[in-house]
Amino acid sequence: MSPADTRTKGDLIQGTLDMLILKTLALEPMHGWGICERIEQWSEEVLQLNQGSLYPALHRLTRQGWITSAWGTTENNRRARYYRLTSAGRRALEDEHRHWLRLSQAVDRVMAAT
Amino acid sequence: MSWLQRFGDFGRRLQSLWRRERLDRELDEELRFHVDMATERNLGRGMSPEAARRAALRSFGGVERHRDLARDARGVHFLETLLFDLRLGARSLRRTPAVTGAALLTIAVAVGATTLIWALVDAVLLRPLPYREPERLVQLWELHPERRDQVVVSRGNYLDWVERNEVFEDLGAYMYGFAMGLTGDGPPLQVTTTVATPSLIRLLGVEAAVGRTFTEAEGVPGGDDAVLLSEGFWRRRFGGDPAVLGRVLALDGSPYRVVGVMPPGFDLPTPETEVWLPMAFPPAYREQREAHTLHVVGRLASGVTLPEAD
Repeated sequence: MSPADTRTKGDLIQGTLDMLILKTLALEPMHGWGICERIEQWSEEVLQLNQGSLYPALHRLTRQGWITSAWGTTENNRRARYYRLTSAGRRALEDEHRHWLRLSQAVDRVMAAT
Repeated sequence: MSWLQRFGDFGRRLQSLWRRERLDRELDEELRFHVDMATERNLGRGMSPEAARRAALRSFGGVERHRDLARDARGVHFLETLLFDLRLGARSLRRTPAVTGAALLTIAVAVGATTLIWALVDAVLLRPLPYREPERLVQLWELHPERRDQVVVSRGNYLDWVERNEVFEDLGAYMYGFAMGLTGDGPPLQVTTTVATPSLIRLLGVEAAVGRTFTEAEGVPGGDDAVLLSEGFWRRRFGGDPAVLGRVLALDGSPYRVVGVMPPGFDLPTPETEVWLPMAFPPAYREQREAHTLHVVGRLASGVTLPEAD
């Protein structure tokens, strides 16, 4: 996928966004901004998070008990809310990933059908 | 809700209002941090400060929306206007202290008096009887032919009623207690007794707390030497010892077997009753109609209503 393909920049399906957030936090606890940057980085600029959906997603994941949060300080000594994966969240990440693989493979099969 | 309860509930909702303010502030701080970081990055990409900040805010899609999504807007808004109205009301009341004081005093007195009355009524009248289906229980009286008022029942009449009964599921009778002398097992004591038919206790639907209640055999002359003890008497005299069952007590010199203990709250006919004896009807009493001594209670058969029973 070329970085210039702007058509992929759009709203992700809710479940996919959740999965990406969980994956990002699986590496290390992070604040909202860091999650944004990390996903952009890893996707090589293809996925640019709609920040309007990031925080609602974080609230949702917190309500579901998949992540928790606590206030902390950044390297620049600024106060930020850090999110962390819970053990339930870790399990959910595996489930979501499996689900995503099945889904995308199915889509591939349909597209390759002719 | 009483005034007091409403105040308490309001206080609790106020507390959650303060907490929401704190949560709002925290969310604000979190979002501000995010926007600042985005602005910094934009600056790093060569944008001017204003453009950097504007771009950062735009990519966010509006901070207000986040705040509204994160809080339960409707509930808090109602409370905020309520609070404002209350403050306004309080201020205007404070301007006329005499009238306000008189009004408050009147309300306080009225509330206090009403509460007191209801507490009394509740304790005396409204508390339901601890019997099974108390609404189906009725008390029966004889009608005095001349004076046309209610009197208690004579034995002969009671027995007639029992025989000819079509209306009641069951009938029972009791007689107000006289004191009997208890000897043995400790210092002599006068106990308050009541005589009741086995059917009475049965139709009230009360089970003995220990042991059992009277059997029909004990309602017959010769078998009627069984007694039931009240819970209080059992604890006072026998220390709550369950081995009291089967003990023989000497009441007025005659032996009586203890067959059961009634549960606390069984106050038939008065709370002072300590011992119940079964009522038996020797043949001589069958025709006795002059002395009126029995209080009769009946349980209406299902489907029968009070007017019909009359």
